[in-house]
Amino acid sequence: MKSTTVKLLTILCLVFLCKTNFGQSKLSIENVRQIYIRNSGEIMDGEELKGYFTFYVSDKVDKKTNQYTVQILDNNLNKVKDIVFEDDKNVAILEASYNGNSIMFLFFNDKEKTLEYRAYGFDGKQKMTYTKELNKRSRNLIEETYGSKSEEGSNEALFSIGDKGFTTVFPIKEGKYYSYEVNFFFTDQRKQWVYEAAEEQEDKWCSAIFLGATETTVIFEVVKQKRLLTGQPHSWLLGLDIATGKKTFEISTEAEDYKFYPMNTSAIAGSSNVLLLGTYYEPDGKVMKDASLGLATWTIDGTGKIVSKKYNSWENEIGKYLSLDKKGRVADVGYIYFHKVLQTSDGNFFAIGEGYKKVVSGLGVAANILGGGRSNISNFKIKITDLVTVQFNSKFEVKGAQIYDKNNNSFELPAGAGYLSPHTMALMIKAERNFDYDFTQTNKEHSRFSVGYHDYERSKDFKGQTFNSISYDGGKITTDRIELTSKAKWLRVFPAKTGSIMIMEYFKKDKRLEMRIEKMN
Amino acid sequence: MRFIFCFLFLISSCTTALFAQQPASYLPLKDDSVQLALIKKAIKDNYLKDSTSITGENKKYTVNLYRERIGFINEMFDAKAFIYTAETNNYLTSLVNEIFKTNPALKNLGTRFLFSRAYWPNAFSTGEGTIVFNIGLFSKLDNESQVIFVLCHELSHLYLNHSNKAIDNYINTLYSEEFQAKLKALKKKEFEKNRELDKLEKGMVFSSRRHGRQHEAEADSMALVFMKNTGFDTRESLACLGILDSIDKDTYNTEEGLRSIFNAVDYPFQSKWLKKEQSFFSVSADNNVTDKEEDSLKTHPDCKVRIAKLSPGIEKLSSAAAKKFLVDEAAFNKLKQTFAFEAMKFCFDNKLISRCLYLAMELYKQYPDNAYVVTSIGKCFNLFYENQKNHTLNNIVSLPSPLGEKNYNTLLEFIQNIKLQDMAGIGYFFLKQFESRFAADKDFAAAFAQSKLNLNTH
Repeated sequence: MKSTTVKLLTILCLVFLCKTNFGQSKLSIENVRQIYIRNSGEIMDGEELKGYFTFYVSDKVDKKTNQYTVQILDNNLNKVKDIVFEDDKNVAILEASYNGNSIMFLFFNDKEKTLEYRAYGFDGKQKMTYTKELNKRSRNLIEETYGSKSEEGSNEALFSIGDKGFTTVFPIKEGKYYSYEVNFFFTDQRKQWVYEAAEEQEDKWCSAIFLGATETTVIFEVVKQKRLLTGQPHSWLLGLDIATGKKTFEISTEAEDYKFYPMNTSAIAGSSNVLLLGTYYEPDGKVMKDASLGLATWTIDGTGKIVSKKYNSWENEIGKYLSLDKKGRVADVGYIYFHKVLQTSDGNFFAIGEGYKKVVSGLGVAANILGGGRSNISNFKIKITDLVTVQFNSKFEVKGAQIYDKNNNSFELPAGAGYLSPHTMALMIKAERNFDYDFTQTNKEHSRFSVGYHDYERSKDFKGQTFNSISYDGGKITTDRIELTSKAKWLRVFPAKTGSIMIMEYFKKDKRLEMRIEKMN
Repeated sequence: MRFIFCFLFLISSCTTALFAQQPASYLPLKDDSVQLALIKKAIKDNYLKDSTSITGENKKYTVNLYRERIGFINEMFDAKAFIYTAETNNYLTSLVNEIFKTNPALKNLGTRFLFSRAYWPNAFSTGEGTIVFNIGLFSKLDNESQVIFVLCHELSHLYLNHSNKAIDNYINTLYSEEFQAKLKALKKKEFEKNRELDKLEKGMVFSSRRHGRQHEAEADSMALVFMKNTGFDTRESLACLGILDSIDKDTYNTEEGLRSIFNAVDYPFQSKWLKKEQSFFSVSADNNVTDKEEDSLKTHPDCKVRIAKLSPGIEKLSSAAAKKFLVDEAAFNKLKQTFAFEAMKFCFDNKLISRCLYLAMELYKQYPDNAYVVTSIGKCFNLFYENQKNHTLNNIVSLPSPLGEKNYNTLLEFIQNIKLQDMAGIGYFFLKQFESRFAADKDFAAAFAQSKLNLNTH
């Protein structure tokens, strides 16, 4: 079953294509007007959804230029601003971010091969712009970055850093090196800096993922690989000074007791230290092949020095709450892929994972027997199982774990993929968007969060898609479920403000698109 | 296209009215469905007659707009928006008769007068003979003279045929050879098509709105001419416009109301329920409209401008013998009271539950011992609970908006902040305070039992 949460972009384009004009003997103004919706998406303020944008061509100015309008809706779907400007006819908005006093859009011009960052103030007037020219290989990498792997309700490359400004990270190709570039744009002053990793890069392949920021430092996880196909990836932690863009620290996360792969970062209240959360592996383990040993947390200071470490293994600490076999599998759930680890404002930590296991595929076996072993389907398939949450206290000691039942769904593996490592299988499932997990939403204070996932039920009371949530607020966990039934031609669920979802329904007969926000319980 | 010509203003809180008696409960008005059906039929017959009398090449477009107009009126009938009881009709007819008996020219207009249960302060002439007076406006006025001014204003629109002239003007402009030629040329244009279209449309809208504002000024002046023939006090026209000028000022202190009303001993108020949503780009939506253009887009002149225009001649049109009340002051005050309850009920019946709660809280401030108000508040929370459980809450409540009324927005934020268990808890413990006092009231007992069930189910 494919996710019910799909990109707003796709939906609105479909809606546009469904629009038709009716012939009349005389013309009305609306018969003559033509607008083209180009794309749309969420506007994020860090991890918090602040609104939505719709980017459309409001007029054609000449052969090369269009007039565009970006319509901005707040998180209650109120139309709050229209930004109108002229630009090249080939631009699209990749992402949008808001930092309390400005909104920044990342524009991509496919034909001119440029990335443009443009910030607007409250008055809708442009505050700054910066254009980066890309070479052909970098453009391909950009297109891959904004492919199917991105999760709804989270940005890939553009992040707000409080009231200071925005940072961006995107892949580039320089000569034979695959590298990345970090930019920082200050919204209160016409200033920016660029960090180009390729300048001092030794490994063939480097990529960076934004983890978070403190008052003074932006932090990235950098994965380096000597050779693209055969080399082992190594994880590093990079800190860049917000004021100057200079490197504050770059430390290996594999030089300690275990190999540590951070997934999230969290500022520690009243301290300049930073908390990192992620999975860990044997010191000589192969990250792309082996299963992780458990979940770890590191605390580092402003210079990148490790202040404390804590490891919770699947086998011992977490195993007390989830019975695991020798291969690290939870009974009935299988292996666990962790989508998100976050710390709440009351000091607790939550890891949100989803189970998967490899099982024999009846279809694959039959196809291989009938095809004399030449089928393009493997004899194995992956079964996506239940949602799992693991809760830790402020000292990162396991407090409990919970399995949330959902109906299993299967994902047929391509021929030859049946012997992949559990971790590689998980990455394949994620890339194909076959996990049922949709998104985790949290507010700026991290006082509450909601995990959303979809399911397909076949009970005597209900048969069809459901959207489910696991919410944490005030120390209590609640679950909720919405049966996704409607008289509409189609219905989709999108991220909304924390604790809510946005339901979009399209009524074909009336050519009507309805959007509404609903609170989860 | 909707034809709401007069006194279109947003809702605001009720001014505090003083009544001699504190009603213990409220018995909703029961409409005379036979009479309403007759009125509906008369409107339809009139529409058919008007439609067949239209001639010319643009007939079908004019008929379309007439059809939209009657569609709008029919929607109001379907929503049970119109009030027709012997009491309300007699009173309204008495007021109208005061105008007609001294202005015979108005008698043959084929007019129908109806009160609408709509809570927002508005009155309008639909153009085909129906004049609608929203109870949301009636309950804001201070005396019969002000009501008469509003009625005379709407009658003036009808007398001067403003609505039909506006339709003709719109049709004759849009479907003129010249305008159609411009549209055809634009349709073929590859570039800057929408920009040119915007210019064309703006010109048309500005012209239409300018005519609209002229019509309002004409209707004000004409209204005074009709009014001076009656025994009502024409000076109250200025007071009426003064009320309208400040009518959209939201005065009910919602935060204070929420904190005091929903602070039961066993379920105390929580400050987090009042958490404000941080506004996002909290400015006017349409930044393409300049201040000058904004003035040109207004359908009505400002009330201050209208007052300034009417003031110089008002004394000449006034008489020392003129009275603020001529028909029945007691009936006027009673209807004001009744209408406040009726507006709340109308919101509940039409699933405008957040607005219903807002109106109920305002009424609760005036009538804290009224079983009907108390029960209505409880029923709002029961509906919140039921809809939140089914994830349809936002079908019955409005979402907060930085562009909306400030105090109403506070209530909307409160509704978004409370959780399912709070909806059950707040409703139950609010009603529980009145358990013994209103035990004999069947509606109260049913609402209380439902709230108890909600609490226990949760």
